[in-house]
Amino acid sequence: MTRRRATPYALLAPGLLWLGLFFVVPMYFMGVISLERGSLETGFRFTWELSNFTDSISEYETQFLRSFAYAGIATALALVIAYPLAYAIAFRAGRWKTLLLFAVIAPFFTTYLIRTLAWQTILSDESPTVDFLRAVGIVPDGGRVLDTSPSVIAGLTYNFLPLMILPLYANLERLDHRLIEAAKDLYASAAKAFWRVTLPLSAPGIVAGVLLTFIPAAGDYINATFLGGPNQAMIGNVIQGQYLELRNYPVAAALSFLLMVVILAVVVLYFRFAGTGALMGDESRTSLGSTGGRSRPVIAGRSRAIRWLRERALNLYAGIAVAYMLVPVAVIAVFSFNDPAGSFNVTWQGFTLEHWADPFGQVELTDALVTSLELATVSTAIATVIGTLLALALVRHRFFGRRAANVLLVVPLATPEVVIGAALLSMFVYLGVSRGFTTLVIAHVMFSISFVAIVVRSRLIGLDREIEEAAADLGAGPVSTFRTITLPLLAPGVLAGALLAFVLSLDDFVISNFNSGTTITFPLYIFGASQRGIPVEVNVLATILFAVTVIAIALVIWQQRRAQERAAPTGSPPTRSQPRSAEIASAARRTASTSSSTRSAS
Amino acid sequence: MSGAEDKDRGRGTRMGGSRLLVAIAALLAAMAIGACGDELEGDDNGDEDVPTAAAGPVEGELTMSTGPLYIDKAQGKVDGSGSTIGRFEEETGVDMNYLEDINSNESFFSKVQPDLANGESGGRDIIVASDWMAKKYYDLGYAQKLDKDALPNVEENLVPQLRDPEFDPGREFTVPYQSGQTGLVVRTDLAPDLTSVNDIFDPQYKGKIDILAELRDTVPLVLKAEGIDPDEATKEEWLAAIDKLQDAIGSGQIRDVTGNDYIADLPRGDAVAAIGWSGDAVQLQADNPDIEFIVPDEGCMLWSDDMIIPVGAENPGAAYAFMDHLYDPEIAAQVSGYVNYMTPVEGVKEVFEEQGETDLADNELIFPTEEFVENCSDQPILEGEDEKEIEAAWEELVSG
Repeated sequence: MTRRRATPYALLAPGLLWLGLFFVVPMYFMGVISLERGSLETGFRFTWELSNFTDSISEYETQFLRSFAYAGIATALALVIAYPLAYAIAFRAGRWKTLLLFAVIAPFFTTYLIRTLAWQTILSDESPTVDFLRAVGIVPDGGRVLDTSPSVIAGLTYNFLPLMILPLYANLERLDHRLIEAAKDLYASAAKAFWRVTLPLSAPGIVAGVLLTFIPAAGDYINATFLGGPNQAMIGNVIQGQYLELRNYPVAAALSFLLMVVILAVVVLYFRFAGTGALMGDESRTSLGSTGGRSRPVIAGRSRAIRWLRERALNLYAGIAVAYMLVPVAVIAVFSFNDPAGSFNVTWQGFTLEHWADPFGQVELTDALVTSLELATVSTAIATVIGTLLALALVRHRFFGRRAANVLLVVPLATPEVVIGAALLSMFVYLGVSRGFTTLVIAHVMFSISFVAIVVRSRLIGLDREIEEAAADLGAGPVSTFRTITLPLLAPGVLAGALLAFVLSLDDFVISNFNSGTTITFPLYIFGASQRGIPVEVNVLATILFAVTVIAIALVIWQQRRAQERAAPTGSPPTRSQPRSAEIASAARRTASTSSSTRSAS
Repeated sequence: MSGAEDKDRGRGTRMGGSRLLVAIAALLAAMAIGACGDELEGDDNGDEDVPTAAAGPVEGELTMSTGPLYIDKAQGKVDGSGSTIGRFEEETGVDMNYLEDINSNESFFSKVQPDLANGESGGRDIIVASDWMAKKYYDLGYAQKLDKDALPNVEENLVPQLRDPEFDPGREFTVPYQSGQTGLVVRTDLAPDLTSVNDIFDPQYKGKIDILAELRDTVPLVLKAEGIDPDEATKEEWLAAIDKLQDAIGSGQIRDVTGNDYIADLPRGDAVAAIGWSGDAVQLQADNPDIEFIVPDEGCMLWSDDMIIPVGAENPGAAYAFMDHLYDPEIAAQVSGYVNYMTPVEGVKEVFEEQGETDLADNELIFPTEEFVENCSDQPILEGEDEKEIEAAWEELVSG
């Protein structure tokens, strides 16, 4: 009994400790600073300077509102793009789904800045895209897209897509198809089945995706910087400017707390609307129960042809979405063959293979990339374990402080990077910790934990517990149940969470800049290089990173498939519509029988 | 959906609300306690004596922080054999740790400031910063004075016009690394008549003008265009110039206020002119001959990136030696041939001529003639409360 009560706390401990030490404590110091006044020249004094807060609200109301509007629209667009795509990958891609998942996430292995610059190229005034938009009348003659609100929103939508796709995929992948079939058997139309069954069942995925997209997007500054002008500045730009340009640390801190409070308020409202069940993982509230009994049987009057088209429509939509995600990668790849005479790789100058001849020839650039890959690997491994444990505790256990732990998870997402980066730096300096790879790992794990936990949580919510109970009934111990049942069921969620952590780590610039000491990561190098021109090799490396990822995953899948075929030459492979839970249930029986036999032997 | 569930949900939110209140109260209480205890960053560093970096033996490890792509390479490496750094290491036996970790003056300053405030350099012996930022380091007590005796080449070869800048009279704590001009970078095919900073307000270029997000580059150019000497300008005149730019942004006349991403807008035709840097223009011109750097009718701004020795530097001896190494004209030519900025070192043009590099030797942007920079001026010094107010107004323009 006591052990059972201790379990959730044991699962929580690593995550809470990490977030407590490396997020809450630094943010406490920032809280103090937000109430100070002064300057670097005269020193800062604590004066309960509440005007830092009150003045900020009135002064930057426009940017606050703009940020939420942009982030809101971008989140809605991302949901519309990502949902059918995640659905198609989860249900239509069969054994290729992991490959497809990597293929849609791999574009985001190219650095944030490079991707955004690619969008600049795509949306520039004389580009074919904008010519087309003018021709069809979406953009007026002489009008432009770049440096307007739509281009900032377009950038946000694109750059934050992985944050929407991955939680949706993690959740949808476990959806039991039999329920949809049952709905159709009960004469629900495809649309009805979607609205009444699929959508409610995937609510936790939608909630997680919306949170993970909206919150960071509201605090973003890069898209507004590169795809917008001063009239599109977001609150992230204001905070960045207050901190870096004006060195007005108190106001920057106060603005950050305001942003956090507003975001948390929006989140609370959202949950009021969407139901707290999605946040807390209270299964009863998100399960089918809420829809049961209300759906009226509808006679299916659609012909086969239309249904056939409908199924193709999803694939077509997914295809377009994938193509859309690959467009910037294509631009980056094309420009890796460019032959500029100067140091700026902006417009097409002619074809050359020169930069591919020795892709790793720019030693400093290659070193930075290797550092970034090592950093991303280490921090992803740690964050994935910690985040998964957190998610398990939050969904599977009830304990004192669960609600607070759920909120704590969201807060780091809502904290502007410049402030958390600076706060962490202050703490390291205060403690006399010299900065380098280790402090980078600490920082990256810190900001990744929440993302992993929220993605895994969206998978866990409503996950069929009966299989685990069946295993337990059949005599499997908790450890072997976890290993053979829970973990395989969780795997796609853990994979999605890990991918997200990896992408975030590879992309991070602001927090890394503060805490890197003399270590140089890939984004740090590129942001610096862009002052004087970005070497074409950057495009080459980005292209290689993308291609290697996709090819490696394809090889792994191909090999697995061959191994499977060799192992069972006569047996037919499991059909794609076969629910995974059935496979796992049989695994449960096997485990249970082995563990019970070992027990009887002893 | 049952009523019981609804009630449950409502209770949940209320509970969350009260917990949040408790949490906020606890945080405030903790802050109050913390506030009594320590004074975070409350370091006054008024006018205490600034130390002079002690010249010492040239040996050991030397760590320098600068931006990427700012020095020549050999075999793809900044310290490849025969490169500026490679030669320095060979000649002196110093192991150079050349860090390309500065991506902007501001973000780098924020990164190193907490260490420097503790009198530590984070392991760095040389930091590169633009004039006004170098002054900030010095004013805050983060930079050491230099021992001129340890810099014979600099004493001999520093160009006369950079010897006594207003921000650092007598070059007490800075050695220029590279210099350049700020003026107009123009697509001469699209805006052939644009020669004055006043022309950027011409409605025919509406939506096709970029300005630099650098307060001390952009605003003085506007002041000059109005016939005001930036060095003499009052705070009100600065603010009026910022207002004028603000209006032009509001009306859509000015498209963007950029770091240096105007370099993409010009070749693509998204902008026809920008307030920009000569060094960028040299690079852009290489691919598009229609892009030209124009010294505005009213003159340009001159700037330098400088090397400073931060407080707490562990190896000033080697730092001096490297700075001096860069002032060997032959070495300076090697750097200049790679980065194409204006060199602060006398005798580089002659080296290029000897080497037959006439393109470089005749490039007015690398070796400007007297009349080319006739009306150009150094970045003005802003100080005290005026500086704060002007900077705040500028930041408001940049981020909406």
